[in-house]
Parts: sequence; structure tokens; C-alpha cells
Amino acid sequence: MKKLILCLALLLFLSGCAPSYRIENQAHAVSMGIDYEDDIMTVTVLVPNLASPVQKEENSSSSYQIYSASAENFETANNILHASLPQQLNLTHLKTIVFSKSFSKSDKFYETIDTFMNVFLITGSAEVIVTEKSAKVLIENQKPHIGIRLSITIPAMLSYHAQNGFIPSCTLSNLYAGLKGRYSTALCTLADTSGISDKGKDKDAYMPGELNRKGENKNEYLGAALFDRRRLAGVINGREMQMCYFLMGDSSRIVDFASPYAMRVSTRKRRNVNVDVSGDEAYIEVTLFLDIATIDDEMDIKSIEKQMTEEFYNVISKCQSLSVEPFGFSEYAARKFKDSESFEEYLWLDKFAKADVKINLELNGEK
Amino acid sequence: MRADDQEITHFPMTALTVVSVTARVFYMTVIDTPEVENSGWLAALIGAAFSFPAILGAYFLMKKHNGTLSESITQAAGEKVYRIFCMILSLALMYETSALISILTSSGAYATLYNMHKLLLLIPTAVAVIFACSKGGNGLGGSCEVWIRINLLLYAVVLHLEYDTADMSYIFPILGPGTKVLLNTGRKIMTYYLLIPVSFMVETGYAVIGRNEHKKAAPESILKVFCLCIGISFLLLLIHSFMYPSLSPVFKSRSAGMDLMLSNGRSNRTVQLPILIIWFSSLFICASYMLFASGWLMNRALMEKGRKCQFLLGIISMVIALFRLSDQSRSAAFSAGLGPLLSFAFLTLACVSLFKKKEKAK
Repeated sequence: MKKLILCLALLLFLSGCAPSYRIENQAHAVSMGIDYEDDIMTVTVLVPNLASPVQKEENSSSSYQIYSASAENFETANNILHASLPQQLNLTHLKTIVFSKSFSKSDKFYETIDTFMNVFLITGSAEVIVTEKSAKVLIENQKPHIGIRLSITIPAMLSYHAQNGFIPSCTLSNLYAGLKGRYSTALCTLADTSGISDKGKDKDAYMPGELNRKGENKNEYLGAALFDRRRLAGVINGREMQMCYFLMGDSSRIVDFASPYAMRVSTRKRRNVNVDVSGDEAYIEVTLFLDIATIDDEMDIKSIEKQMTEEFYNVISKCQSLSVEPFGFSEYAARKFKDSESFEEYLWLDKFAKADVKINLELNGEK
Repeated sequence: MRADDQEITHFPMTALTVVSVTARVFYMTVIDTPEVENSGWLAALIGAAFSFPAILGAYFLMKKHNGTLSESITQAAGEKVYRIFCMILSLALMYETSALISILTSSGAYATLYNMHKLLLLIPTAVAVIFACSKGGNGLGGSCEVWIRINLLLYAVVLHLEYDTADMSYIFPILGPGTKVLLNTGRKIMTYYLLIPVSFMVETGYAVIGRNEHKKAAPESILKVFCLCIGISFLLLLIHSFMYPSLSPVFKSRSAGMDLMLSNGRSNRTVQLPILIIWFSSLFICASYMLFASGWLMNRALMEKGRKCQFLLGIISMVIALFRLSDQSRSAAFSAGLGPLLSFAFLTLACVSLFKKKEKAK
């Protein structure tokens, strides 16, 4: 009898059911965007409508709803959204976070990211996208053109583009590590909504929003946004991003190039990186081992090697001019120091900006 | 009450010790000392080096007196000293239990129940620990042995999911925050390795099948358990260091530290669930074992039998946690202070034993 009473008394302390989170009571945002103009931040969220297809048809409502709020900072805008949304806003299942370029360059950027990672329930695994113009417009154009659910189609699409080397894969946590850490800086997907096609542009040097194409989907994902330790520093186009992948030592890509030949490039074996920090200037030597496959009988390995080496140098020079280093060379430099303090005193990003970089390319061609 | 409730034989004790020590070392390094950055594996080795003299002292005691560690201490220092030592250890382990209950409550609050009142989280946790402990040392140890097998499977899942983003370069620079921080962290970690000789005080040796008697464990087994704990802690911390680059040590709260550990922030990826299960279960086992050991030692100190002491100590540890007297800063400071005291105690006992032998020789 005593045991029964004790068990019944203990039931009162079972706290599992009390603070339940029902799916229908949550507004699970799939995407969130942040714009920043004239000292006003606009936060936009894309939330799936969980009503049945019949209810949606009766009410003429779409599968997704967009809400936005404007305020001086993220905290206030978030509170406005919480106060105005019909359900509790839940950011733990975000698939993408979209920052406008103006926000990414502003002073608000660093403190907002810090807030995300320390205060709000925002998942660190959301992919970060930087858009040339408005984040709100990009989110409004995120529609399930192929497929039904954006929570599946968006990550699949980004994964596909990343596999082709057009965009990097960068989560909020990766971005945070790039901003806060002492290793490589971060690079995130660059996107824009389609605008006027730019005819006569250099071959392969396209940026998102400039592609000569037609289709239902308005959003274009191509290239990367480069961040230093505080904010957006610059951008690179799709071709440069593809070259970046090889410099970063990513061995999982098989990238198709159109020039100088129609060819498929893959990594044969792990890159070799030597970093010498003993002198006044850092010296970095990178050896890449690549396989080339082409159907062109006139393939000239030497000219491919020359062109690719030149493009690699161009990408590195661009990053040096922006004082960013997304290639992972800092991890090799860190081995030369005994502790974090001495490595930080070395000021790696400043040293990289003036570093003497040598690239060796060992190509293996196959027709 | 069954006579063997308060006994724990060698194999269950070993399983409980290994899980408890490695869980505590990992937690202290990753969550309570974020300033150690990605050099926690080195701090664990330093902590092991600091604790080695005391472990060696306990080994020496067992070797010289040819008994369990409790018998050896009694023979070396006398019954009164042994009982006082048991009392002090019991209270220390009671406080550790309270700290672990706080940690478990915070972990539960972090994972899902962040809007829940702390009282409603803490009481069921404490009751669960007391209940688990009431099943006796061998029951607890048997569950732990099963848990180790499940743990390995879950950890394999975590490694598989984390493999793509891991980078061995994150352990460089090799000394991380510098020798001063590493030595300080090592000093804090040392306390948990010193739970090993405390566990050997509590055990009764190998159970002889078919007979109601025990065969004492070889003194070398304390060194084997010590090596096992070092190896596993080192490996876990080293693998953890590969997972994410070290950031500036700005994270002070346990929940922020857990964020960083759980797959790069508040991730909803699949990896979060297996890590949380490993995390919670290991610390729960540790808390239950600390309470069991505390109760056992108090029984010895007061010449009592049964589960009364264990139950009372469990209630007191719950009350301590309720009044936030075992929160992060206090429990970390306590752990930092306890290690040198335990080390001093075992070394002193070993020296006393040596001195006694020399007197007899004269």
C-alpha cells in the first residue's frame, strides 16, 4: 500500500507532458531572411501552412506563408514576430538563413550572429546564403517548383549545386567559426533573383542574377560570399568557386568545366601544403593532384595546366586583396606555433595578404 | 533487506568506475573548462600524471598488506583513521552526487524542457538516482556493463555522422591556451582519476561462483583500471577536438558549452539524439554510483548496515542541488580542491604503511 501511494505521489512530478510542444501550435520556419537598410532591420520568415489540401483550397491559401517584421535590431524584430504570428515561432528547423549583402557588410552583422549563437534557439545547421539584393524577395521566390516540401527541396538543391562546385556548403556554425575562430575564414553561398541577362560577359564569369536563362524559379545560386573576422569582405563568381574547391583540398567534387575544353576535373589525391612562417613574410606552397577527363581529341595538357594555374593564382590574389583565407592554409600554419597566443600574435590574415604563394599542379589527362 | 545489497564485486565496480571517471573527465574538460579549447586531451593526460602518485600509493598499500584497499588502509592506519577517512570521502561523494544531479537537470532543461521549473526537473532526477542506487552495487554495475555496449553502438553512429566535418588540424597549436591553463585544468581533472582508489575501497573482490565468498582483486588491477580510464578519456577528448575548431573561450554557461559540443550548435541533425543519450546516461550512471559509494562509505564510518545512509545522503544531495549550492562554479571549485586532498591522503597512507614496516624491521 505504501509503495502504491509513493508511486502515485511520484506521478505528480512527471514533467514530460506539461510543457508539450504540439506541431500544430508551432510555426516552424523553413527559411529566415535579414535585410538591413537605413538602420532598420527586416526579419522575414517562411513558414509552411500545415492545413490539409482541402482546407487550403477552400481558403485559397498557399502551402507557405511569409511573415516579416522591422525594427532596429534582431531581438525587437523577433519579438514583434512572436507577438504577431498566429503560432509560436520556432527557428530550430531552419533550412536556410538569408542575409542581404547590405546587412552582411554592416556593423550589425557580427553582433547579430553572436546573438544567434548565444541566445536564440536558432539551429546552427541552417545553410547561410548571402543575396545581392533583398533577402525578403529571395525568400518570397523560394517555392516548391519541383517537389512538394521546401524543407526537402531546398537542402537537396543546395547540395546539388555544391556538388557541382558552384556554391560552397556553409552552415551558420561554420560561419560563426570563421568569424570567431583563428583558422580559415568562412565563405557562404551567393544568390540573387534573376534579373537582366548579361550578354557579352566573360565566359564562365557569371554572378547570380545575371544568367542568360528562363524558367519558373527566380532564384539563382552561384558563387560565394567571402567573410573576414567581422563582416562580408567580397564575392567570387561560380568559376572562381569551382577553383576554390580544389585549393581547399576538397576531394569529393567532380567538376565540369567548359573552357579551355569541355572537361571533367577531379582530385586524384590529397593536396600537399607547406607553410613557412619563419621569415617576415609567410611562404605557402600548394601542390594539387588533379585528373582531367575530356572527349576533345585535341586536348593539350600543358595549356590546361597553364590556364588552371593562372586561375588558381587569380583566386588566391583576390582573397589576399580582401584579407580572407578560406582555403584551410591556416590549419597548416597553426602547426608551426606552440600555443594559441603566439599564433594569434602572428596575425595570420595579415600575413596571408602579403604571403608569397606558389602553386604546383600535377595533371593527369585522359581522353 | 538482502545481505549483498551494499556489496559490489570487482567487474561491476570496474565498469562503473570506467564510465563514471571518463564521463566526469570529459564533462569537466569540455563543459566546465572551455578555456582549455581543443587541448582537453592534453589536459586529461596531465591530470592523469598528477594523480599517478596517489594511484601508485594505493597500489603500494594493496600490495604490501595483501588485502582489499579498505583492509589495507585499516591495517596501515588503524580502524579509527579508516572510519574518519570513510566519513570525509562519503560527504565529498555526496556533494559530487549533488553536482551531478544539477548537471543532469541542466542537461534535461537544455535538451527539451527549457521552460520547465527547475524543481519539477530536479526532483524526478534525484528520485531516479536514489531509486537506481537502491538496486545495489552489483545491480548498478550490471546495468552499466549493458550500457557500455549500447554506448559503443551510439558512439559509432555519432562518429559516422560527424566524420565529414572532422579535421585533425583543429588540435593545433598543440599547447592550445598555454601550459598554465593546461596545468590548471589538469589539476581539476586529477580529482576524477582519484575516484579509482575510492572505488577500490568500496569493492569486495571477485565473487566466487557457488560460494558466498569473495576472492580479492590483484593490486595490479588498480593500475589496469587507471590505464583504461586514461586511454578512454584521452581518446574521447582527442576525437572531440577534431570535431570543431576552437573559438575564443567566451562560453561560460554549461548550456552554451553543450551547444558547441552537440554538433556545432543547436543542431537538429540526427547526431544530437545519440550524443544526448550517451551524455545523459553516462552522467546518470556516474551520479548513481557516486551515491552508492557515498552510502557504502558512510555505512563503514558509522558501522551501519542497509540502505538508510544511502537514502539520507541522496535526500541531502537533492536538497543541496535544490538550493543551488552545487552549481557550476561551486562544484568546479570543489573538484579543484578535492583532488590535491585525496592525493595527499593516499600518499600519506602509503607513507604511513612504509614507516610502520620500517619500525617493525627495527
